[in-house]
Amino acid sequence: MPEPDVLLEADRLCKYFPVRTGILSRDTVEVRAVDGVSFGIRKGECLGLVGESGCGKTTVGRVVLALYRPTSGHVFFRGRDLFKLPAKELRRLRRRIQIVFQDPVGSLNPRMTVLDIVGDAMEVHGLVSRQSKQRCVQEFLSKVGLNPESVSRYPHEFSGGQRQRIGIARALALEPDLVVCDEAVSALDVSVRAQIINLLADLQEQMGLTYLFISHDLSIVRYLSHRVCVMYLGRIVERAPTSQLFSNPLHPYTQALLSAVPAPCPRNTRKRLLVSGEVPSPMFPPPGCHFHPRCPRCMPICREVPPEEIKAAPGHLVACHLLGEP
Amino acid sequence: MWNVLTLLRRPKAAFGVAVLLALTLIRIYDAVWPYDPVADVDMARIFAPLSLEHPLGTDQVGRDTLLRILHGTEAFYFPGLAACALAAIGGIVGGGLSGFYGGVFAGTFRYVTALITAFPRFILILLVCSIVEGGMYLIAALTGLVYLPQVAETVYRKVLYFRSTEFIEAAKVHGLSDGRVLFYHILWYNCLPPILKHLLYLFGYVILIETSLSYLGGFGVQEPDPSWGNMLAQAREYILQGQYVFAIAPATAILITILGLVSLGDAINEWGAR
Repeated sequence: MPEPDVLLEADRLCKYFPVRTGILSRDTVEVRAVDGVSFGIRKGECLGLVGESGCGKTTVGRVVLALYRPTSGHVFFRGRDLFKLPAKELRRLRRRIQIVFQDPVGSLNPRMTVLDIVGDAMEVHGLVSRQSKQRCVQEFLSKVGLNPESVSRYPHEFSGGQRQRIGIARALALEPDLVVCDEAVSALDVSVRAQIINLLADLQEQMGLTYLFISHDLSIVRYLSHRVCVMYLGRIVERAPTSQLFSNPLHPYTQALLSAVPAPCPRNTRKRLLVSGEVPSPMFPPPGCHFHPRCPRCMPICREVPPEEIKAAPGHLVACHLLGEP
Repeated sequence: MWNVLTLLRRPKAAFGVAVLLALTLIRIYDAVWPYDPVADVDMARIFAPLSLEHPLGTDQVGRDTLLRILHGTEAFYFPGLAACALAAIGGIVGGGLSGFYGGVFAGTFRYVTALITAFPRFILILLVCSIVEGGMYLIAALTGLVYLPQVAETVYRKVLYFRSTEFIEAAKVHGLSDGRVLFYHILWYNCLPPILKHLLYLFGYVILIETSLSYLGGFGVQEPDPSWGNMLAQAREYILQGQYVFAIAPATAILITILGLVSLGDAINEWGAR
């Protein structure tokens, strides 16, 4: 049921990476990085995607950016299937979906000046002429809080937070509709992190941006996102509006994840929900519910049948058999 | 982007640039006032001592050694550039595409270059030269070809590394074409110094091959045209008669030129890695 203002819709996305194992690499095993993920992002909202390391959230981001071709499933951007577009048209559409990377060092070409980092693609897409490029880049630099005079400097001359601002300016320069923030603030120290988060929030308001905010940091997701999807081992286990997810988590994994957030008050002795064991290998995911080997409330059915998403409240979907019981 | 002034501040680079500049000026001088080896013969001044008129003396038929050394650059200058062009185009395009796309093309290309590498270079050139008739340009083309795998391998490894960096992914997300990403964002911005280093080494290698073949005789530059190689070969016969300058002059020319090229190549590589 596509809603009218849905900007991007992922439909049953799967991304498997083949891995050769065994003697003479004869056997091929698939790493199921993303295993049937569907979600929609409405125009102007910020969708948070949370989960622990290796759960496939970055892979989802890369498929949405058309950096990876999904094994199956579709990504519709404004109703058009990204992976059925001719190459030329995809290139033209690509400027509408941009990314802010985690690593502010590796995401900027070390030998390019800021002018070229931000301005090169603008020029290629015909958004600016050669003459107006510098003025335009300076405009974007001041928009992200950098000195516009620094256009001719190189990335290594900036601090981590400033580099991240350059990365944001680069993404915004192409006038995107959707910005994928892949752990965009995780590599920054706390004070700078707050600045960048506020910058992202301000820019969203000013430019009407839509974010797919991928993070493992729940407090940041809570601050920025309107809705949150929780991923575990390649699947979305729970999705809800932010306030509802944080006040009333229903999936045992979400509950465990939330209880792991450090409490700001030392006397606040919340009960810690500990999850035993390790995340299973995505090469051999457990049958049934992926979470069942670690779930404190596992039932026999969980070992066999993958749970369907069940509507717990408007907009609040949970993939857990616990809710299926009458 | 590449600030050349910071390069020239390095002594090794300055020396190399001076050598290259000198070679070019000599070529211009030689084109304006061509040297005629036959007209230069003068039996009255065989093995003339060093003088202002003949700064490096004369040879066994009275030809001016300095003039012959200057004119000897003709044997390798343009063929050397041609060899560099061949290795550059083949190596950059082949290695670049192999690294960027991989697949069957990369497999085939890398197999063929490995095959070339596996063959002893000098023997291969000697072999082809003894079968096929051809002048300096054939030798240069062969030298470029045997050197091409090194350029290709360097480019291949660089591209393989850079294509998975985040800034190159960002360039793809920006909707830039593969060609622009590969040749502009990866190669132009990040791989120029090592490629230039290899091309300068290759230029030196062309000189070495040319002089070796001319020294052996039968291949390369033939008498009466001068080449540093055949000058050395002639000097060998007279060195026991005390005609040292006749031998030392072309040998020094070879030494300084190759040293200049190689040190410029190294300097560029170090400068690019800073």
